[in-house]
Amino acid sequence: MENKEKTLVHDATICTGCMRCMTTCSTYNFGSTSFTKSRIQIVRHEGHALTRMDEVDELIFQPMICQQCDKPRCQEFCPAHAIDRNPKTNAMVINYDRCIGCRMCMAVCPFGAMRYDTKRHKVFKCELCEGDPQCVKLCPQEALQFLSKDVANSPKINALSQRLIEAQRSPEVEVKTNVGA
Amino acid sequence: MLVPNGYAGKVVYIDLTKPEAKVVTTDRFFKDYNIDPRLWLGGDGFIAKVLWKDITKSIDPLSPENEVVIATGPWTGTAAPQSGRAMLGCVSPETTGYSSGSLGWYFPAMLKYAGYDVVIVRGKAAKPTYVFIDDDEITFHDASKLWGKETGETTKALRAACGERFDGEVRVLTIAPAAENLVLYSPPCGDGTSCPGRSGGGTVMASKNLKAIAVRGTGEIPIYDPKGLVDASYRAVKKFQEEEPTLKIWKEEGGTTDLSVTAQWPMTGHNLGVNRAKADVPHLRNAGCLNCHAPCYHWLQLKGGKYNGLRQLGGHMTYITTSLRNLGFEEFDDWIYYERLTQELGLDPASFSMAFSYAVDLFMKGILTTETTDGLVLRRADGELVWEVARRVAHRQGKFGNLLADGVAKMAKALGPEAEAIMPQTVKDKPSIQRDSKLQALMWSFGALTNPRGGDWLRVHNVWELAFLPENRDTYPKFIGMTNLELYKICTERLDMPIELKKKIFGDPPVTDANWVKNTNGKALFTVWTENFVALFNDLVTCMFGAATQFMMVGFGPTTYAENLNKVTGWGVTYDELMKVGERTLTLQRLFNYRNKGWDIKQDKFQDKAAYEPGTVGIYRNKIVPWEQILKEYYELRGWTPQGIPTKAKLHELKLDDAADELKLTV
Amino acid sequence: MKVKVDCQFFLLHLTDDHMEVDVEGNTVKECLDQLVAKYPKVKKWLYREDGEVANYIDIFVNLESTFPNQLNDPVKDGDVIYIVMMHTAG
Repeated sequence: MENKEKTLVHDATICTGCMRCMTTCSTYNFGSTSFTKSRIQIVRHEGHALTRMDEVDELIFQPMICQQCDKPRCQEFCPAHAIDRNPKTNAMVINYDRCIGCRMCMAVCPFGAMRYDTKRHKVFKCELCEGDPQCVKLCPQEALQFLSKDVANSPKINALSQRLIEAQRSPEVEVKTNVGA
Repeated sequence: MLVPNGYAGKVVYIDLTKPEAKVVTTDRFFKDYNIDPRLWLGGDGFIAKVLWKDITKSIDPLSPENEVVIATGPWTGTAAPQSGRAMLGCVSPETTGYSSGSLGWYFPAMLKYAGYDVVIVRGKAAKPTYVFIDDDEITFHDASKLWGKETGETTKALRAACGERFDGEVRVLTIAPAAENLVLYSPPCGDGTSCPGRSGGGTVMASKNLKAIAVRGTGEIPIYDPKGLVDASYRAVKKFQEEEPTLKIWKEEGGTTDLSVTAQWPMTGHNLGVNRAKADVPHLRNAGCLNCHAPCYHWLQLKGGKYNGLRQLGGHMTYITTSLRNLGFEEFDDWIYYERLTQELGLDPASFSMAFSYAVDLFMKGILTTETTDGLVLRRADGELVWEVARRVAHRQGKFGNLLADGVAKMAKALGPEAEAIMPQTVKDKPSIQRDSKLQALMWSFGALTNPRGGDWLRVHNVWELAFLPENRDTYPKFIGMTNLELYKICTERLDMPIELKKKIFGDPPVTDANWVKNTNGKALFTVWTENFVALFNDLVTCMFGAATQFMMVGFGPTTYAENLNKVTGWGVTYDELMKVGERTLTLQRLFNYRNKGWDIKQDKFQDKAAYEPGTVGIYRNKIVPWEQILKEYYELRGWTPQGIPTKAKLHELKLDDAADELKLTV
Repeated sequence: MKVKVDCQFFLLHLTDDHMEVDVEGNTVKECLDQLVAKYPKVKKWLYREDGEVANYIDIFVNLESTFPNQLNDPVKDGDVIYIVMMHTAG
């Protein structure tokens, strides 16, 4: 069904932090491979410590990406009216014929999703690859999925529910509930 | 164009003596070192060319004349599969010959995004120094406050000192106390987790007073056919995921690392999968290097037990192998702690555990006594003892710490003929990774003889003979729901090798079965092919976990490498051309050792004096074959003289005439 | 038959550091059972629970593999049984 509004959904317990989404995005959309030229950014909290036992730290990979807001501030604040909704994909896309490079969109985006390329002198953002996001396609773990917004939280709910079920299966609980058996 | 697509475009020559960082274009580097990139690619190929030109005779590896060469390749940092790796090379402190090792995680990619294909470090700094490569700006910094710090602390402090603006922006390659104290087998560590383990590169960095290299890169790597590369990369991994029989093990267990699962080793305690699931934020499919679809870094959190709270990113197999075989550890937690400790201190886990294991042998025989062990009573399977000894070795404390810090070969020499008589397996003064491997698969044990860096089989690493066990064994064929014969039928069919070659190795029709394992037919040829193949992926640079004949039975072969490389560079390389690249690199490494050290057939032997004649074939064998016979066949196949020296004709074939001329070869 | 069992490859921590252990028996199994009797901790590394040789172990007699008979192979005076573990690394 073509016109469903879809969004990127990420599972941090499956993501391996391989950054293939980023190398793919930059290569596909820019023609060269780079981290800075990727529209999807994986924030790598690698626990700089990774050392002493008394230090608390974690390994977390978290994607930050354009949310394709329903009320996009980038569009609202663009003085050149250069940002528009693609009706087919629902993505906000930049019209480079109109863009004046003021970077107001960068200033007002709450998610830091608007980026700037100093070589080409252009802002850029995720435009969902014409509706077939390559980051999703190339993710080797399927940690990144492209789901209808209606069901975007379902994998998360499902995963949490599984863990709750596991907790209820613990022997201690069973003994208590089988009184007299 | 002068610099092909896929290359970052610059090379930096760092002279620590001055100090000076001279940046040249990569095509200038090609001219300086007479490199046609299509013949050498990068990685080990570039290292071989650099060392060939810059170090023309035997040197003291700890002198300023030595170099540390970090070489990426056109594959590194791109959208090609498993693009996170680089090679680090030098003259080995342990063997005094050629050495290199592979490192991954994110330092290599970041180096390319900063704009550099190769870093060459020369000379010696006046005091502890770190170099910060910040895109175009390269600066030298006082590392006195960092000197003495272990790996994790150094990593953290360095990122802060470089003004990291967001997590993961700055990548570091650091050395630790063992290197600083010139333990002969100390590797550097990338980002606190990925080390070129057997390179000895940390020791060489330390001899130059180089504590670390930090890099931040915001640039991009030009690609010839970007959408074509994304497509080729996608198809390569998809095919792999559909066809690789052992993928289940990688997905669920993070590789064949956890032998308690795939081979039911009776380890005690919580296994890797459990410790991985227990992490506060678990990574159920592991974490991995750039663009890797078979990630092997387990994020472990030990809860309870004697190392309660320890977090470790690793769980790599070398540590379980050396832990069990050389140290007698049967508990998971000890293995994980061993990994953490050796990374923190900067010790090659293989060389150290072999030295320790050897020391216990010597103690049991009375060749070492509590006088010479500084009072320590040596025994096996004692974690606390191993930790204590590791620290003493890393800090060269006392007679005993110093003895082991020099490694197995020098220990034997220092202690005399009685000690030499019971040396563990050693080649070219570098110990293997386990006490003995001669009674095992032919290609693996043989590979230790011909590896230019000595000691181990990691330059052949062909698993074909290894998993072949009787059908009633619960090892990984059974784990993935197949019999050995079924697995090997698929593997033999899908192996990326021309059919004519397959017939020579596996018979006509090509079959891998218990009979194949039992004879020597084709084994020398398979060794030659695999060594060339390993040299190829160490030139690209890409990862062995994903390559055919390594742990992935039908992983990527030269065809896949050619397809992706051609999208990156636009060259149109062929399978044969790429295999020749590997052969060329390996041959130059061989010549380097011959020219500088005079090494030939005399060094292609086991220095340990095991009573038995090694040379058996596979795990099941019915006849002992002397090494000399296989070596002879190997030399013939390689086009080398009976003394093990590449012939003029072979060098001409490989476009190495200049090397032949330099050596004034007559044959 | 008087036979030696060579334990040097990975079992030293379980055999009180004896590289070679003297045993007697007519078959490989009888000899290994004696080894286990002397050093019980070796058992779990040598045998699976169903009594078969463990999954990653190869048994040699005088440097020849005992596959396929393995435990039932006969031994004679002066033979040496090697217990070897398959390669692993990475």
